[in-house]
Amino acid sequence: MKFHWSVLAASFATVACTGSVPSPGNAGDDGGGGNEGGSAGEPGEGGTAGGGTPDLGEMPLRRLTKWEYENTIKELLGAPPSYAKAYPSDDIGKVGFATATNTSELMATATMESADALARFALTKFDTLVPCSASGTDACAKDFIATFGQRAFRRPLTTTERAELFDLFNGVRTNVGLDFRNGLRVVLTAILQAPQFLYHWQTGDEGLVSDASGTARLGNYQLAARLSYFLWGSMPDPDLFAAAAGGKLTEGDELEKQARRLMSDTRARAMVSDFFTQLLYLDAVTRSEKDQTAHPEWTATVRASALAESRNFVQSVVFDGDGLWRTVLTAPYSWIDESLAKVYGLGNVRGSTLARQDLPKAQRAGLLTQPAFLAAQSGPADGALVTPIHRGHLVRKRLLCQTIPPPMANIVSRASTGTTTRERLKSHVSDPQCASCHSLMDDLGFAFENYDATGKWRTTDNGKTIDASGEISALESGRPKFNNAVELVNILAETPEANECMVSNLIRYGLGRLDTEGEARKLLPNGMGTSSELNVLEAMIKVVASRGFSQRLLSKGEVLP
Amino acid sequence: MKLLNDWSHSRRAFLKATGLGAAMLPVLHAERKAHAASAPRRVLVIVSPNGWVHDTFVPTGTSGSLASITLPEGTSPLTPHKADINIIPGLEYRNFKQFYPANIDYADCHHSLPHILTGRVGVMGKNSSSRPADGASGYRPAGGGPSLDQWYADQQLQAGAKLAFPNLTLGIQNESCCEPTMVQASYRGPDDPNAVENNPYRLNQRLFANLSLNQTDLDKLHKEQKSILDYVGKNIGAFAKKLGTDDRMLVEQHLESIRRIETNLQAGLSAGCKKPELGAAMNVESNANVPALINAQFDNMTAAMACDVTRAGVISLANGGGGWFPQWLNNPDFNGGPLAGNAGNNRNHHDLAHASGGNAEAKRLKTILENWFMTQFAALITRFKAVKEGSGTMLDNTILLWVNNMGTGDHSWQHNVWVTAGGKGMGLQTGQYLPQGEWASKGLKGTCVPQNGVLTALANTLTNGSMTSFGDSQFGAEIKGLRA
Repeated sequence: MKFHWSVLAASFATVACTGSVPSPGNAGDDGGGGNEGGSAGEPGEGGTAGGGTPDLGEMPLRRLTKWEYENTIKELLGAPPSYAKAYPSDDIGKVGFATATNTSELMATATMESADALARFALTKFDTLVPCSASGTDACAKDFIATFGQRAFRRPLTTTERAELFDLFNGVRTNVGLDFRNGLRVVLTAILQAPQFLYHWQTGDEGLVSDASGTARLGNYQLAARLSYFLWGSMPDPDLFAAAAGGKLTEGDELEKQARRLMSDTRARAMVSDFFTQLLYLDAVTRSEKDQTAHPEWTATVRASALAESRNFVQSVVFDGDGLWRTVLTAPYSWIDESLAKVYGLGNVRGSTLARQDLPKAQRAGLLTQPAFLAAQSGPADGALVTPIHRGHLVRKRLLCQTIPPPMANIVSRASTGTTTRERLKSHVSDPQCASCHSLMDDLGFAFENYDATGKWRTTDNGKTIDASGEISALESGRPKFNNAVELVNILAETPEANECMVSNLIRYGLGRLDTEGEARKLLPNGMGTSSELNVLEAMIKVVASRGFSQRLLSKGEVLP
Repeated sequence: MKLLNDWSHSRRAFLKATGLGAAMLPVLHAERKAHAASAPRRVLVIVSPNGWVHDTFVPTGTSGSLASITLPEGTSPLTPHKADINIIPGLEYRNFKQFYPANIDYADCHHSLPHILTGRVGVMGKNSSSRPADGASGYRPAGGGPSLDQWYADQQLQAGAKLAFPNLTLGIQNESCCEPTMVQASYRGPDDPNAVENNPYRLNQRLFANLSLNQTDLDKLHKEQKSILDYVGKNIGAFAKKLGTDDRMLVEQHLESIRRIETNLQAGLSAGCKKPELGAAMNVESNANVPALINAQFDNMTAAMACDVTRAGVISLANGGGGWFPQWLNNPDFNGGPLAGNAGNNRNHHDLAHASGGNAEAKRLKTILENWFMTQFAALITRFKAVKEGSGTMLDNTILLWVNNMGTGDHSWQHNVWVTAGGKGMGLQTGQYLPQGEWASKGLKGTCVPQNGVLTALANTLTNGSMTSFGDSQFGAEIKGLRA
């Protein structure tokens, strides 16, 4: 698809948002430009990933994210999270979830320092890591390289790879005069900076099977790593490695069985929290400071609790409750400690441990009525006009997978006068230039006007009764009306577009690429599905069992081993 | 190296500044030579967002010496340094605007950062913030070439300089969840931004960790690191060959980073180099800690330049839409309720910018904030002046440049104001008010001059060069009055 500037210019001059809301599953969201690894292109290139092969996409190269790195070094070396601190931070990539960006000099230095610190940490448990260490022989070094290397690279090392690491060991012993232990420390430092460790890509002896249409099937070790990083954000465990070694993951429903096994582990709980945290930018709440005069109770402690609350809440629904996306959106309970109880107006909660509390059903329903979402997406003071805009924008973007262009340049302040925030944003409706975009987000945001900048319930704004009613526009399935946030989230829970978007998000999160046209819809129960059927873990299993998980398109210029 | 070859500009500037006659020349000549031989030239750019309130930031009048001008409230903290600075209004980021269709103004300066210092038309790529579904307005191009800092770092490397960090790109809360074009101002090349280090404590450790080692141990450490990097480089090279074209580019950049680290391993810290003591680490994400974080990054950068760890750098304050809430000023007026006619309607930096077009109270508050920003600049200048180099100070051999991603608070790509400090020792004329385009006669209604004119002058000053343009040549030549 190629746009022509003139055509765009004409259409945008009149109504800026016309045609800007793609149906779920289309490229869009935080960027697009095809899939992440796709060509940079020029303005106008883009569209869906995959082109002619509807449910397959390329597998763009990804480096371990900071969270994955933290999990992996724990598994690999028993290292505490502090060793991941120096590792470069992630960006939210075009896929909409954390991705490691290109490795600048500063980042490479940080990775080098992390590797060095980790290898020195490993010396403290050297005898456990290298059981034959007492011998101090070359054979012992080779054994360590083969066994540790296989865990770090997530597949057996090739002969060349083993030889190169042994050469390194020998070299530093001879040239730098290092002893056996420090020789292996250097080997470890090197492994932790090797691309085979840092990147999600498994090359080596295991060849890719490809056919004439440019489709490649992933091998057993590739599937094992893809599965464990999706469901755990970490490296495969011994069971999964064993299944890969036995060639089982490409047979029958073994992959799905393994997925179910991984889901029963606590590491999967952390992944579900991570997914929802990223989906709604929940961790921003910890940085979301508020006007201290109006909200003296909004301390760093409360902000940390607010994030913990939502992370805990999604885990409890997904793993200990009915597991439904609908419940994540609508449950009238949450996990609350004494500091948060002040935000919720609950008087009877004591202590700093989060505990399940039932909440007033007319006021609270699910994730979107929790302070982590509400406060992170609001301005620093009550009455901030950005608050409904940001809240509404996020719902539109992340829960309906629709895109709204950023504001144009040289915007003239056109706020109306009025008592409430909603009144002062009237110009967004009355001025066609504003309305074309703001009608897509403001209404959704006004639904949350009953929550102040910290997420506290309120019924008036500047002394005037709040009007939180509105409708969800730009849906293929209709224009449902709501009176408040509780009604809005209940409608979202039954909205086909929202359900399809949820599956799109799982594909993007799990596969690290944009979903292709129709890919998410195909995975929904009963076609378009309703959320009463959409179980979050089952949807993830469906992603694992789909063709898009175990096969991919070859990238342009790729050389097969 | 070039910087040793030609000192005539500096000498002229020095003579002019001191009013000394020709009889003194031989002595000065010798002094200057010794000075130049020991002092590298440097460039450091500070980037802040949200534009300036021109009424209270820019002096009035036509061009001339700042000596006779009283600086308005916004820039008044620079008064003690008037002889070392230049204030240059009337600039525009035409290279940013150029990306978009001529008849439509999509140049939203939240996203101008990648273009300010490159002077080139942007490109769409991995580091652009693009939304194909949004049409033209959604395209936020990445930088189209090396930024001034990177270009100068590359020049230094080519000239054989051994620098542990050829270009040091730092930030204070210079982050964005999803928009790379709201973060990076420093670019290595087209679509290739330099990463920003936002943690001054981590950086401090990284820059100055090996200061305590003796030469033998340091040599051993370097040998060990070189062996590891050889291995890593070789592996990444082989790995890259198997990948598809786009992925390969990503990994090749990683490889280049490894090679650069390897090249720079031998670049030790100079004798007498001292690690700045930053005190207890603070939360780098907290708004309340912004002043402390700025101090820490300024300390790091000053020491890194004094130690010749780096000769080029950028420090980015907040992101392209940064909304710092100046709680450290303890001014209750910032806590007040919404301001009428205000699109953002808070009293943080960004929302004040939105309102500052027509709201007097927003202008007043934003001016207070801008005064605070320039107080930071004054403190940075003081730091550079405190480092003695030859007969002068480090400031004489450094160009400090403060730029903003917007012109006015309404996110305009035009009517930008740049402020320079230092550089006297390399022939930069200072102490001047240098309005460009029609600024002096028409102010915000007048036409502007591309910032390329200033970039060209600074690049030529840094290298004693004679380039006719920096960035894309279509954006014009060097502005007059900056170089002697």
